Amino acid sequence: MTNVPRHWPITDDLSALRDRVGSYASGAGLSTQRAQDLELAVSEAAANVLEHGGGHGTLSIWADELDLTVEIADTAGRLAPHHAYPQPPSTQAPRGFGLWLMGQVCDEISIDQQPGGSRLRLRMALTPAPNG
Amino acid sequence: MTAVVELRKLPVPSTGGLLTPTVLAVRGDLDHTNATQLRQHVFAQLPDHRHHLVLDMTALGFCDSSGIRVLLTVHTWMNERAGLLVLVGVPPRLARVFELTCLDRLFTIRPTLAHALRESPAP
Repeated sequence: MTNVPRHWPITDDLSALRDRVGSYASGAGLSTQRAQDLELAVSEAAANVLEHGGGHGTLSIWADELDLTVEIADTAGRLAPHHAYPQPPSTQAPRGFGLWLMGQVCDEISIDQQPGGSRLRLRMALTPAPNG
Repeated sequence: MTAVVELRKLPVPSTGGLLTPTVLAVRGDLDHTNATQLRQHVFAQLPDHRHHLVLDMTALGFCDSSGIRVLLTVHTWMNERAGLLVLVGVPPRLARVFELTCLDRLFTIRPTLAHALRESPAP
């Protein structure tokens, strides 16, 4: 069963993490392009954990009838709800590129900030609305 | 295994012009863990005078925002020297990111290396 929740540590092996997420997403019924979109979003989120989120974290992934959800938990807790959906980055100072890209390719992103760490959620609908 | 990205210099027949380009082929997956390394390898291949650089992306499997930042840095560096960065063989996956970020309008993109070399840049 591919739809049982899985949990993987976030390490500097982003390549393996992308592969795992891509396989899970395809198994859950996401199209190839949307699975690749999710791989990109996950890679950006995990890179943020390595760079700004305390260097350690856990990725959890699960699916129900409607959605595939990925949760990236870090140990630094610097990521706050208002960081979701930033302004488009400029080519001169392309910081915040990662979070902006996540917002472009995922159906929804949300951030929950607690003293012990932040949790970023990426949601992909398994049956996207037409033209959606 | 962390992501591996390689850079290979391709031989270019001299065009007889002043600006025979440097051609570099990128292979592998480009992400946060190796973008700095790739940037250093690219710049190590660039002469400090005006010239053109063609990056062949055909064998690039993955590219995240760190990789895009490397491309932007190289693009700016070339522009400042009145040179030109040309991207060829952009895979569909990367083309989609370029489209989302509107970078398809900033970068000079040609379908293949042959296309890029056929155009003789203004001296």
